[in-house]
Amino acid sequence: MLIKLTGGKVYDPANGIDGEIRDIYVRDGVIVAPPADARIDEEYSLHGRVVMAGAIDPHTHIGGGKMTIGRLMLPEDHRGDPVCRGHLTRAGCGHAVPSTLTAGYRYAEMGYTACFEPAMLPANARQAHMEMADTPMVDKGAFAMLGSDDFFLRQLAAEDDIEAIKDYVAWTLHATQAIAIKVVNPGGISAFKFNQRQLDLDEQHVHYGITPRDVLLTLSRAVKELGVTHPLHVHGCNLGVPGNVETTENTIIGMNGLPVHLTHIQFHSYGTEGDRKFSSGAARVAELVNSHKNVSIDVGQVLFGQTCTASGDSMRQYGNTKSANPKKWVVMDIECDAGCGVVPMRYRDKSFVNALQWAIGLELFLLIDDPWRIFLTTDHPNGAPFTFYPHLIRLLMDKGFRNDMMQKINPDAAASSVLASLDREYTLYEVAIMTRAGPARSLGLKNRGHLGVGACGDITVYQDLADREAMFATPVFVFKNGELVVKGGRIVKVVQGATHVARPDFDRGIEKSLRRYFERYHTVGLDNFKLSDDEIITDGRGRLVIQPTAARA
Amino acid sequence: MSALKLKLRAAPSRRLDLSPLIPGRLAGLSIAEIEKIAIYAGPEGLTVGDCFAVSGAAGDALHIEGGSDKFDKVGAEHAGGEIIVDGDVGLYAGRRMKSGRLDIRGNAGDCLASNLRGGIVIVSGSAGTHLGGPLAGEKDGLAGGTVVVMGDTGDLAGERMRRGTLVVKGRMGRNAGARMMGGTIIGEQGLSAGAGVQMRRGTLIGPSLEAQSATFVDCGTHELLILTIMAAYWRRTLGDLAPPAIASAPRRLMGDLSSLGKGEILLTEG
Ligand SMILES: [Zn+2]
Repeated sequence: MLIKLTGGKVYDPANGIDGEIRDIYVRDGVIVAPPADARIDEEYSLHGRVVMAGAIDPHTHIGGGKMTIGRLMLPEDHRGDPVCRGHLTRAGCGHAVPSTLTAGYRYAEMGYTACFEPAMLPANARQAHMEMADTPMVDKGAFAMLGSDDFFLRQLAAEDDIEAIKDYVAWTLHATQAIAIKVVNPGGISAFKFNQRQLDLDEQHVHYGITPRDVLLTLSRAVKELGVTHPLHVHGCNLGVPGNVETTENTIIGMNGLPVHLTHIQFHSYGTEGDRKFSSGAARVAELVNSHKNVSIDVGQVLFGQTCTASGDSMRQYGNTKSANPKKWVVMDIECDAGCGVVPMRYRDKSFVNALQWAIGLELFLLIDDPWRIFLTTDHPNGAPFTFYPHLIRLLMDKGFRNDMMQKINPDAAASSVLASLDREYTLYEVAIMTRAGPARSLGLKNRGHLGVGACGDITVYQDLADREAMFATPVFVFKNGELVVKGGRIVKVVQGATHVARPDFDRGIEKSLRRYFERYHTVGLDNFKLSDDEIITDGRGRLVIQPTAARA
Repeated sequence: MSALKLKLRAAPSRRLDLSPLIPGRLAGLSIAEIEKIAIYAGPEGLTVGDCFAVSGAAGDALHIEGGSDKFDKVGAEHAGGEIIVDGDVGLYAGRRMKSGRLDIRGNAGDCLASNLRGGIVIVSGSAGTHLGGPLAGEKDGLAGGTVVVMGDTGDLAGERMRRGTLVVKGRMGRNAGARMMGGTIIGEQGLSAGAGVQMRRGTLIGPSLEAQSATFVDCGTHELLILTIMAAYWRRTLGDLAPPAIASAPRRLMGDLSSLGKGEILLTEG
C-alpha cells in the first residue's frame, strides 16, 4: 500500500522544513523516500493545505484513578455533554472529564495521534493502562509517580547507594509499563499525612528527615543515569500558592544542570505583589528557563469555563477544596504511597485571580524563547479540557485576537499583566515544534513527531485558515500509521494506538529487598503488582513500543 | 387558544427525546420547521416529521395524539402553556418544568417531574419509581409545583423533595418522601412502609401508615389550622383533583430522628 500526499505545505521542524511544498510518500504505514515509478494506491492532493506530523500531548490526564473519581463525582459533567453513538464510534459523554472513548475520538478529531498520562501511581498502574486501552485512536504512555512512596523515602533517609535507588526506579518503570518518572510535590504528599500542610524546597519531612530538594536531585540523577530519555517530570512544591515563584526559581537553580521537566509551570509562577498579594512571576520564571538549557516546561494554561482539577498533590488539593465549584471534592490517600485530590473548578474571566492565571500562562508562552523546551498543555483537565487547544493556539498566533480576549477579562488583572505589551505571535513552525517535534524529542519517541523517511505515518493535514482556532479544531485529514482515520474533523476509521514504554537495564537483585518489603507492608503481592505485557496486548487491541534508553553523558 | 397537533404515525422503535417539544420553544416556528426538529440523536437521526403528522399552529397549547413508554422528557423545562399527551410517556416527563400544565392521559415512566420547579403535572394513569427524584449529583427532587397521580406510584416518590405538593390517588410504593427536605406528599390510599425515611423536614399525609419506623415519634393528635388553609388552596388550584378535606384532628408522627427529625407524618384515621 503506497500513499502519496501531494503538494502540501510541510512544517516538519525535526527535519528543519519550514513551510516547503513537498510530496510525502507512506508505504505500509511508514514514511518512505520518493519511490522510483512505483504504483501509487492512493493520492491526496493537498495544494494549499498545511501538513504536520500528528500532534503529541505530553501531559494530559486521561487514565488512572483520579479520572474515575472525577467521572463518579461529576455526573452533571456527563449529562451536560452527551455524545451519541455514530456509525463507527461508540457513545460517550463528558466535557471536563470525558469518557475514555470520547477522549480518544476527540483527540484524533483535533489531529492528535499520541497522548501521555503524566501521573500514574504504581499501585494504580493496572487501572491506568486499562483506561488507556479503552482510549482509541491515539498512541499513549504513562509516567510512573515516585517521590512520596515509602520505599523510596526510606532509601533516601537511609542514604542508600544511588545504584540501589536507580534499580528501584528502573524496576518501577518495568513493573508499571511506564515511559518516564514523575514526581509530584516531592515528599509533600507523604508529609501531608504526617500533618504538614506545606513542604518547601528545603523544608524537612518530619518523619523521614529528607527535603524535596533531596528527592528532586536523587530522582533526576537516577533517571538521567538510567538513560531514560524524558527527564524527571516535576510537579514542584507549593502548587498554586502566591509567592511560589521563589520556590520555582530555587528549584531551577538547585537542579545544578541536571535535566528536568517542570510541568504546568503556570501554576508555579505566582508572586505576592499588589493589593491582592497575587501577581505574575512569569517574567522571572521565563528568564531562568531561557538561561537554563537543562530545563524544559509545559505551561498548564488556564482557560475560562467549567473544568475539574485532578492531581496527585493531595496536600495542595486539600488547600484548594474551598474553591471547589460545584461544592464537592475528594482528597484521598492511595495505598499509603501517594494520594490524589479531585476538585471541580470554574475559572471565571471576571475573577481577578483566574484572569491573572490566564494571563500568566500566556506570558510564559510568549516570554520563553525556545519552543523546543516549552510544550502546549492545559494540564487537561486542570487548566481547561484539551478540547480548548485550538483556542489556545489562536491566542498564541494572533495578537489581535489575544488583545480582544484581554478586553473581556477582569480589568485589574489585565492591568497588572505585561501581556498587552508582548507582540510575539507564534508561527506555524513554532507551533509544530511545541506540539509535535518538541514533545517527541523530549519523550524519546523514535519515529514520531516528524515526517522524515522512517517516521511512522502519523500525519495531520489542516486547511490554511486565517482563523487558527477553526484551522486547528477541524483538520482536513488525519492519518494514523498511514491509514486515513479522520476526514473533515470526523472519524472515518477507528484504530487502536500503541503503548510506549521505556525499559532501562537494572540489577534485578533489587527484587529481593522489594519482595521482603511487599510481604511486610503491601496489600498486593509483588508478582501481582507487576503489569505483564499480556495485560496490555490483551486480545490484540494493544501493542507495546519499547523506546530506546541510553545513558547520557 | 391555538393548538399544535402531533399525531403519532406508528409505535416508535427507539427511545425518543421529546424535550424540544414545548410551546415556548416552538413559538413562531412553521410546521415545516417543526418537522425538521431532531428527536433522536443517533446515527439514524429521527425528526418530528419522521414520527408524527403535524397540524395546527404553534401556540400556547401542544396536543400529542398517541403515546408510548419510549417518549422521554416530554415537557422537560416546560415554561408556560399546556401540553396534553393522549397516551403513555416514558422517563423524565416534566423534568425541571417551570410553569404551565402537563396533562398525561396515560401512564408515566420513572423520574416523572424530576426536579420540578413549578406548574401542574397531572397523570391519569400510574407513575414509575423516583417520582420527582433528582438526577445523580443533583441536590433537590421536587422543588416546587404540583403533581397529581390518579393511579399508583412506584418506590421513592418524592425523594429529596424540597417544595411543592404531590398528590397520589392510588397506592404508593415504598419509601415515599425519602430524604425529604420540605413540601407536602398526600397518599389518599395510605402510606406504605418506609414513608419519610431519612426525612429532615416536610409533611406526609395519609389515612394510615403501613409500618411505623422506630425513628418516628408519636406526638398525639392535633387540630392543625394550616390543614384548613391548605385544603382551601388545593380546591382553588386543583378543583376536582384536590385531595379530600381532612375531617378530624390527625395523629402526628415526627421524624426521621436518624436525620434532622423535623419532618412530620399526619395520619388522618388515627
Ligand atoms: Zn497534570
